Amino acid sequence: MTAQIIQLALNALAAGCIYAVVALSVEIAYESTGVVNFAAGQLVTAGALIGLSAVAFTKANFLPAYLLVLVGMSLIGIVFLIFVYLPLRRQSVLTIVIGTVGIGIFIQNVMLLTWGPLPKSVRSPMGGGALKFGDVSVSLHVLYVIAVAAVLIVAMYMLLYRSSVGRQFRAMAQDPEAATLMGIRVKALYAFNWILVCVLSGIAGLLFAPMWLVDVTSGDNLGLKAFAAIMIGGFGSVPGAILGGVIVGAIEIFGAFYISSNFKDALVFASMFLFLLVRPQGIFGERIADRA
Amino acid sequence: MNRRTTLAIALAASFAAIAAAPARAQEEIILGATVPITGNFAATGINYYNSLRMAQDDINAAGGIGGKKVKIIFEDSQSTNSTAVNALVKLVRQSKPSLIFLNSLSVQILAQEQEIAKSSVPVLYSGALVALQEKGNPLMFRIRPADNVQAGVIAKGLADVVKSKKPAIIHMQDEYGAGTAKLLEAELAKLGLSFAAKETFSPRDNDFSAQLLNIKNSGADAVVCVTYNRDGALIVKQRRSLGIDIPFLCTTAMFSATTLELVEPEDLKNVYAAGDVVLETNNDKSKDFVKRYNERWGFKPDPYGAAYYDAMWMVADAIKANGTDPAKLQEYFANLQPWQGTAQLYSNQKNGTNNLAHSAVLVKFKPGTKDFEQVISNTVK
Repeated sequence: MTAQIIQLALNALAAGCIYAVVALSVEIAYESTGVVNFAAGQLVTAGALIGLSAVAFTKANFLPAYLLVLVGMSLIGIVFLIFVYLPLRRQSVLTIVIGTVGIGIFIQNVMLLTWGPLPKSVRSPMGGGALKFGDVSVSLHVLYVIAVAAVLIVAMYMLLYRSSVGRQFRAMAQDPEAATLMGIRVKALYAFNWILVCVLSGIAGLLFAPMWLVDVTSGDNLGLKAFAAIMIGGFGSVPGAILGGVIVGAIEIFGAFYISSNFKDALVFASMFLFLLVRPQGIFGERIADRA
Repeated sequence: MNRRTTLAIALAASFAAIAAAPARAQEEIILGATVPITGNFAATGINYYNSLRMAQDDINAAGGIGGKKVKIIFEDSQSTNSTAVNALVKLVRQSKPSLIFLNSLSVQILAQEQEIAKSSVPVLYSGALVALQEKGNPLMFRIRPADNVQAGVIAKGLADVVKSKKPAIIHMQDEYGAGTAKLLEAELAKLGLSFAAKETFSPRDNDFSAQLLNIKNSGADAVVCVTYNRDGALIVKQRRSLGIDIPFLCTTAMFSATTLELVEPEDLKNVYAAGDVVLETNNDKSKDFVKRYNERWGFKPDPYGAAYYDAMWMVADAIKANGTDPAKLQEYFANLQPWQGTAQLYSNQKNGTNNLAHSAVLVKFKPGTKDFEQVISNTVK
């Protein structure tokens, strides 16, 4: 039984890490621009599909392939900035949110035309191997996902809370005009922000695709789970997004194992709903009054 | 040429084009098809989207039907019932086809059933849910074996091939999955067996470790796996990474080239699949179809594709014999005499089900390959 709990915990952690990275990308957009990015799921899929083509193009030479993905996602970030955020940034938050929904649908349609509707298998840089410890069998890719996500999470935490860039992000989100007067190069920071958001989403895509296959709608569900993670962990809190991601992964997998697989998704969203009722600010989030 | 002359020529050309349009339309026989071209079920839909277009081209290359070209108007039924119903209504109202091919998704066809009844246009479909025939709609004809035929072959496989005493099941949480599970329970009860564990999953699930470990804990010695393409592939992959090596008996989707593209040969160790037919060995027609389909589309056809290819040729024969009147076509299929296709010997047994296909097989994947061989077959009389 212990072996099975370890097995489930590893799978839950891998799923949770992916949700956490997606949630982190949403959180960074929110921290620096105040925008809730509803195109997160489609950006994750874009990363996975660009990765698929890049791995094929480089004949499975993963380092250049992954660099190509990062470049591709950076370009998408710049397009996002130029065609969605900058034209809409003086509009109400709701307008920008609708803009992100619109570009999400646009990205999905472009992906459909480019890669077609069929699910695809993506190779992992770790190959298809697995490690066995007694009754526990864990694929190398799962360990790779956990390791990469851990490094990313630490790096993003350092960037946002231990660097001047993080402080500038928050200043920019609170009052762009005042930030400009303080000498912060707001436009450059906006560009950096959207590139970072897209690159993080792309990395989430590269992490999930070898485990779960990819098609043009794969990211939709990941995006929803990431939002559940943020609601549970606390909107506006990076540690909250990370913890929320891991909690969502755990609820899904342990809930399906100990309660019923019939209610796997229902349990996740019921937990989110419970948080909204009992602790609307989530685990680490600020109360709305505090933020105001 | 002055402006007035140019305008007159342009107007004359426009009128000529408009006048020619109905004439062209009369030269074509119009059929309709609602197929999941995009969305979650596109991996299934692509097989018959391709084979319908291939049959259309083959018929037209052979001179058409009675000298007229045939044209299938496709509407994308995507992943939702509402889209499928709208696709059907649009076809009926705008294109006025003589007959419509519906897709393989029983849940969508159930949703379309009332519109079919209103339309007076006969439909050929491949959704296998038994509940569809229970509707008793005389316009609906099924071109693939119903789930009870597939359930029969899986139950036979559990008892006779893998000698299971304690099977388990994992199935999709929808009408198809739940319906097939119910049929299998009934078939197993006849053999004195019952499921040791019953696990489900939803359409976009990614991780099946909890379900698979629950099955392992139940002490099951074989697993029935009722899935579509993507989830079927993920289950056999994750089963391997969890080190579960008891036999898995899967439904037709595991046959499909689009599913087999997603798995490694090692994932198929001890995996069986129930389906309509092994096209590679069935008959000369099927061998030729596999070869030409593979050449044209770059992957092998599955039984869904073969069923629609056959269906299109049956429709060509029906139109040759009875014309394009929908009522006459309905009559043809209501009295269908044995008709040998690539996948089945089709006939209407006139038992009220309007099922035209009656056989299923169980195949086993050969070790270390994605090739398979037939182990048993089941025909319902």
